[in-house]
Amino acid sequence: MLSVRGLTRRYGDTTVVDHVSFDIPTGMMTGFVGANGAGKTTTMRMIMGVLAAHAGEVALDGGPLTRELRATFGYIPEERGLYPDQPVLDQLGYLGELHGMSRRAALSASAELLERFDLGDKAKAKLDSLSLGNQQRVQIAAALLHSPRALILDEPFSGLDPDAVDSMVDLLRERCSGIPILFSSHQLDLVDRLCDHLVVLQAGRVVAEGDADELREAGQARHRLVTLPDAGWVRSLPGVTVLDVDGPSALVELADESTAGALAAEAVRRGELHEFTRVLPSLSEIFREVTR
Amino acid sequence: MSTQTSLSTPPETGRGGAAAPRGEVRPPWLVVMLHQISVTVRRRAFLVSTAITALIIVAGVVAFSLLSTKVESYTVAVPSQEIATIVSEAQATAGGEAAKLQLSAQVESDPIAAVRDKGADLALTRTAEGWSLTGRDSVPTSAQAVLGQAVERATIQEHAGATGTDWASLTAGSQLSAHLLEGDAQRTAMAAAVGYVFAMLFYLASILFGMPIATSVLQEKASRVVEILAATIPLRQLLAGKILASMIVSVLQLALYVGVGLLALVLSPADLGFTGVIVSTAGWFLAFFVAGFLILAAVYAAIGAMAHRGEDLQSAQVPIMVVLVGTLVAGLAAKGQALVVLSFIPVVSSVTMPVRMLQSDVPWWQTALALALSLATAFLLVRVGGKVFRLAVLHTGGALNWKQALALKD
Repeated sequence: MLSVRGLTRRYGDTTVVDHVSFDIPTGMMTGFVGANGAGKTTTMRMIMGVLAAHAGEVALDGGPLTRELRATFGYIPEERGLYPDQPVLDQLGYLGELHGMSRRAALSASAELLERFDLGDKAKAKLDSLSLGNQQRVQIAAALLHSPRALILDEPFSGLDPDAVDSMVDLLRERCSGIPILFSSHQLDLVDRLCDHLVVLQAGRVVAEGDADELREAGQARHRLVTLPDAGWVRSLPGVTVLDVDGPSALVELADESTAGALAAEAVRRGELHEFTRVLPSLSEIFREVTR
Repeated sequence: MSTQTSLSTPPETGRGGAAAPRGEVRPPWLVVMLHQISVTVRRRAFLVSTAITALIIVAGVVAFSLLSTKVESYTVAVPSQEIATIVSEAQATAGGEAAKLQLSAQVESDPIAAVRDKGADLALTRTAEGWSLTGRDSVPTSAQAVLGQAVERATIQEHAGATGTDWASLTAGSQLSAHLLEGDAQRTAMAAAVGYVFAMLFYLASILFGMPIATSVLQEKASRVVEILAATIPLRQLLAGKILASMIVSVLQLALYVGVGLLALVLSPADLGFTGVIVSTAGWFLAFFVAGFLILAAVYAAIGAMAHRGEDLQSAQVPIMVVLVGTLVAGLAAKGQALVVLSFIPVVSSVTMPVRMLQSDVPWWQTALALALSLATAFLLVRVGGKVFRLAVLHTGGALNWKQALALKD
C-alpha cells in the first residue's frame, strides 16, 4: 500500500495542495478525481518526487519512499512524455535501462509489450508517426516494462476510445494486480466503471476517500418504485422526497429505512407493485455531491 | 478485483538490488551518454556535415600535395653540345633531380624549327646580340630565370677566361645571405594559418554541438520525458550523460579533423617546418578545447532548461554567440599585449592560448595557468548550470531568465 500523508505544496502565497492524505491500496485501481486545478497533478508529481513537497511524506508498505524505491515506479506524466522523433523500441529500451534493467532485458520486455499491444510492426517507427491512441499505448508500455512496484498515471486514458480503454484496463488488471495503482481522470463514467477505490480532491483538499462500494453504500440511499397505473400518489406520503416521477415509475429519497415498509404497503394497497429497489448512487453522483 | 496473480513477470530488481539475470546493468549516466551518442551519430545532419568537412580536408590535403609536388619539365632544343652543358648546369643550380623544374637539353640542327614543330618546348640559341630563349607562345619565367643565370655565368666565365681571371676569384665575396632582426615571417605565417584552423574548429564545434545540447534539453522538457527521467534517475546523472556525450562526439570529430590535417602535414613532401610546434600545440588545443567546451555545454544545458519554446533558445543564445564570435575574432586578429591578456580568459583562451603558442614559445606556467583558470571556470559553471538545469527543467509555465532560474527552489 502506498500511503500519502499530509502532502502540502504552495506556490507563493497560494496553497495548491493542502495536507492531502489518502491511501492507494495494493491490488486496486484507485481513481483520483477532482475539477481542473484541484491539485491532482501537483499531488502526483510530489508522489513521484518530481516536485518537492513543502510538508508531508509518502510511505510504501509502511516504510519511507526512498529515491531508489521511487525509481521502480511506473509513471505517466500529465500530457504524456516520450521522445516524438525517436523510434518506439529504441526509447522504450532506453527507459528500461534507466530503470535498472540490462539492455537486453529492456529490449525484450519492450518488444513483448509492443507485441501485446499489436504494435510489433511499429517497433522501428518514430513515435510521432503513430496514431494518438497508439502513442498512448506506447506510453503505458513505458510505464509497465520494468515491472513497476507501483503505478502513478496522470490521465492515462485520455485520447483512447472505449475499446482501447478496456484492453488497457485488462492489461493493468492482469499485470499489476499486486501493486498500488493511482490514476487520475476527469471522465467520471470511466472512473465509475474502472476504479475500486476513489479519492476526490477539491481545491487542494481530500473531500472523499474510500472503496468504491463503501462510498456508494454510505451515500444517500434512493429507491425506485414502479407501480400501476400511476405513481403520482407518492408525493402525498410523509417522509418521502420525490426526485422524479415518470408515469408508473418514481425515484424517491426516504427519510429513514422504516418509511420503505410504509411505501411498499401503500403501493400494494393502491394496485400492482411491479418493482421496488434500492438504488446506490454512482461514483459520479457522489463526486458531484461532495464537490458541490 | 482479481487477486489470483501477482506480477506476471518477476520484478527485475534494478541497481542496488541483485544483479539482473541477463546482461550487465549500466549506471544511469552511462546509459544516457550512450543513448545520446547513438541519437547524435544517427542524425543525418551530423553525418552529412562530418563527411563534408572530412572531404574538404582530404581535398585540401590532396590539392596541397599536388601543388607542392607538381614538376614543370621542358625540353630545350640547343644547336650544340656546348650549349647543352649550359642547360645541365642550369638544372644543377635549380636543385638537380629533385627540383620542381626539370630541363633536358636536346641537340638540334635547327632549334627554332624544333620548337615550331613541337619537337621541343624551348630553344636556347646564341645570336649576334647575345642569347635568346624561344618558346611557342610563352616562355616560362621559372625556366627563363635558371637558364638566364646559367647563361650569364657561362658568358662571364668565358670573358674572365679571356682576361686570365678565374670564376672563383671573380665572384668571391659576392654571396648574399639573409638575416632577420625581428621575428620570423615564416613562423608568423604558419601561426596565422594554423591559428585560423584552430579558431574555426572551436567556433564550429561549439555551434554544432552546443546548440543540440540546448535543443535536446528543451525537447525533453517540452515533451515531459524529463518528468519520467527525473522520477527515475538523479538529474545530475542525466546532465552528466548529456554533456559527456556531446563532448565525446565533438572531441572525436575534432580529433578526426586534426588527425587528418596533421597526417597531411607529416606525409606532404614539401617540408613546411614547425611540424613539432604544430603537433604539440594541437595537443594543448585539445585540452583547452575540452575546458572551453565544458563551460559552453553547461550554459547551453541551462538555457535549454530555462526555455519554454524553440524561439526562447534563439534569444537566450545571443550572449553565447557574442562570446563565440569574440573568441573567433580574438584568435584571428589579436596581437601583442592584448593577445597575452586574452590568452588567460576562459573560453577565449581555448583559441588564443594555442595561437600564442604557435607564434612564439610561451612559458609553460602561463599555459598551465590559463588551462587551470579555464577548468576552474568550467567546474563552477557546471555546478551553477547544473543547478539551474535541475530546477528549471521541471518548471512548468513560461520561459525563465537567469535571475528567475537562479531564484528557483525545489
